[in-house]
Amino acid sequence: MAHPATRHFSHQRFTAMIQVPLVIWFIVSILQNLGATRAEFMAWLGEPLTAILMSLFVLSIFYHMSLGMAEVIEDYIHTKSTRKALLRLNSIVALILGTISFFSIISITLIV
Amino acid sequence: MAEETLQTRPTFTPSHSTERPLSPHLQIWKFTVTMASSITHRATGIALYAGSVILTLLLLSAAISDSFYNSMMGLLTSPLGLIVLAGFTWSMMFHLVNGIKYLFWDAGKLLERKTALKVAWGVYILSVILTVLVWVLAYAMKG
Repeated sequence: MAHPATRHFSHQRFTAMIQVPLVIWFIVSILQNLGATRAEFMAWLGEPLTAILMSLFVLSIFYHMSLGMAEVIEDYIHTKSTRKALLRLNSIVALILGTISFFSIISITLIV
Repeated sequence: MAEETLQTRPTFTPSHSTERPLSPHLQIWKFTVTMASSITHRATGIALYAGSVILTLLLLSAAISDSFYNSMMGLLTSPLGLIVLAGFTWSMMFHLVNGIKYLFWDAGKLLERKTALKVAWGVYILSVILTVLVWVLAYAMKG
């Protein structure tokens, strides 16, 4: 297994590369759906391709952003106990947001 | 200004020599666009962290209830909401384009000083162009 720092680096880059096409798709789609009714939004999100792309997107961004925020915390928080607590909090926040998003996408595909 | 700041910072004396040196702090850097783009990369990343909460709430609201969804969509399409969304769009485009620059840097490319400065300016310009394009594209496709 790679050293944790190398793994952090390569996972950050890997998720970044996945997101290059996904981000453009995501932002255009969200803007297109501005003002959509809930039924319209669910119909869009419930399509298999949309649900798959959105799942890929949310799972990779929540991982990517937890890696990025961990770097910021490591750079600026010099008190060891505070740093440790914030790093944990950062991981938990990303995990919770990612789980809620993923669960919501799945439940919408099941409802539609 | 820069010198003033320098004097207020602890300086290295032989008695500190066992301590590890700190990176230069924000205040004592001479402005370069590469430095600015590095700071902006972090700032947009942190902004997008906050933005991801909005995305989560939007997805959750669509899964859960009409009233929750309507208030989320109402907020996003309000004048203030649209301004915030434009800000997030630019943040995403900047983080995207500058992130691609980092992928090139990792590969050892575009690192020559003059090239790096030009590319950093290009990143800012391209991020604004992409932001406008993405909104125009989205509204054109909406019909």
